[in-house]
Amino acid sequence: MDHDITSNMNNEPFQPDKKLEIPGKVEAIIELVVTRQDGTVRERRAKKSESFVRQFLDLLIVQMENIPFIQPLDVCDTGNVIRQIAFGKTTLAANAPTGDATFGIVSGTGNTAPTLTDYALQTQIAHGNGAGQLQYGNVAFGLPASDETTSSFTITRNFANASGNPITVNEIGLYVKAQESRYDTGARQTRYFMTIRDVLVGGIAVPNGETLTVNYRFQCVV
Amino acid sequence: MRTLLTMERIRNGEVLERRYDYSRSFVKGLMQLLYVTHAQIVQTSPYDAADITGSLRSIDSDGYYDTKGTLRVSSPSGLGGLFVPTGGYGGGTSDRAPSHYPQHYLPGHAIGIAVGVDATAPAPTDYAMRQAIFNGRGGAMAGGSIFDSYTVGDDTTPVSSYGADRYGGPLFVAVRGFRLSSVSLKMYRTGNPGTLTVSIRGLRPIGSTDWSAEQNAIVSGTTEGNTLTNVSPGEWREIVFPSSIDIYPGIPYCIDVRAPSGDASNLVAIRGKNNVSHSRYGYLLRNISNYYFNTSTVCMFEAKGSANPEFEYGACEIFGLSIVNPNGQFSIRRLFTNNSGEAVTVNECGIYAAATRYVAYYGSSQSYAHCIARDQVSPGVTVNPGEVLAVTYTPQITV
Repeated sequence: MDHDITSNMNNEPFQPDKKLEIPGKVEAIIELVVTRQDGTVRERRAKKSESFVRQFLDLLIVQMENIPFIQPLDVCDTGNVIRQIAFGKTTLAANAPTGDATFGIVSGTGNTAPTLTDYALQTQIAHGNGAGQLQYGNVAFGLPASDETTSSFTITRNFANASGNPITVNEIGLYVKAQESRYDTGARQTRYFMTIRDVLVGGIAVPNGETLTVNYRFQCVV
Repeated sequence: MRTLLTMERIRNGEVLERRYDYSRSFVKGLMQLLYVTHAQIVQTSPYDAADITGSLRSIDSDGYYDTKGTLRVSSPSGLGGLFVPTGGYGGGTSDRAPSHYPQHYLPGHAIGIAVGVDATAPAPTDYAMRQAIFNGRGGAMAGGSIFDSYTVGDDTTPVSSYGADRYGGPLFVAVRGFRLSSVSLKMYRTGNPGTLTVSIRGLRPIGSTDWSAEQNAIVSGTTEGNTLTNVSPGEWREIVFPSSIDIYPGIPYCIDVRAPSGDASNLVAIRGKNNVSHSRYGYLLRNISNYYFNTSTVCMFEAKGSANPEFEYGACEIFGLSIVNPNGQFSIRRLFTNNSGEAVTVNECGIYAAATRYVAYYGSSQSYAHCIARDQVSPGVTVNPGEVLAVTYTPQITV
């Protein structure tokens, strides 16, 4: 059976209809929406992300210290390989285009609880329209905004199910880039690192033909 | 991620007082810098964010070179200079050598942990300490003190302001940080230029040698141009601003004079002196589409205000990365030594981080300081002469 998937792959971040405010913290709020083919919302959830992982601290130090390529920092990439990372213009890049599942918001089916030293999703869902695959849209960003107490910006990605069967997404993560350098030439190579991993209790079902929109909202509250 | 804020008051190596609590005040500036890095903002469509002076700066994650110092927090001592790579180049398009112009450096005190005396509660839009304690050994200075000036020997008129696209004024780089409350300028009029708007603005390089005033005024005041003398060499006129602002040493400012109602026959002229070649003063002029920046000639001016006692800023260090499941953390710390001779009560502290702009034109890239955190210290910590205040931020994540 062919499925006519109509999905806006050039997605825009949606505005949350409620806030989860935790004064004093830098948080990521994860919001999930499953949208039917006709555009109506089947399911919507929001929860506080519990799981910045160690690579987030590592890459913050890389930039805050301007760690140079002559004395790089060891950081574990999504392939469980230790990379020697220096500061640069690409650090923390999450602006993945359509179809690129190596960085940006990523989805998976693993449900093992997160740990600080997680370096990748347990079982990432691949991009595509084959069995068990989702179509990764481009990553979009909402501009920084603030009100009387809260500052935030958003990162959003659509995952469209054209696989022919329902897929239950159990884990969501954020993969970002950073540069590994060679001392002899200074040449740089892009590597990928996970900074956030969340496990969704009970998962969220994405029926065939429907689209999961994932919104990470970084926020801080005074 | 939450952040533990620890403050210790130390004398002769002994901790006299220690306080710690969780920081409540990462501000919009942190979200802006995380947005710029995650979204990889390009130089052709930069993002505007206020820096610690209050100037809106266009920042990005772009560059010809990979090295870009966005989010830099570690810093040398307050007297030191910090080179923050912008990704830009200084040579022509034929060689594109990495550039090291003054606009790529920031003073050591402008990056890292900062402290101040204002007790106002934090707001998400805070872009700096409300009233900074600057680096140095100076004591307090009362209102009406002159901090920067050039007042004698005027022999030229480098700036004439009229209409929408002819304006400018004195350029200055302060050595001591202070609270600016008024400026005085030596001016005369031709015809009736109308009400003059006098603003303090940041500067933006538009080449290797030219600068223009940033798009927003940090603070503005007015004076009636039609009551100025119409006889050269003019008169001194003081413009008092509606509110005082912090002037950060080591960062260039322009006293920008505009006569929007004027024209070529109705203008205001600002006096100056030729052949000075000053290290910190000059003038800035926009003449339609041409921009002139010059320190060989200096405009006549006085900048007045007040100052708090100073602290000597130590280096801002990052250390202590600890990963023990489920907890991870690292620390940012700075020591402030009170050699001002006076007790100082610290009521606010925060963190300044670097951001940069890349322009694909030699020398035009620039580095800036942005506030990413500001905390209210309540009750304030009084640091007596000879004592050291250690301020430590420890970001922590727990899975």
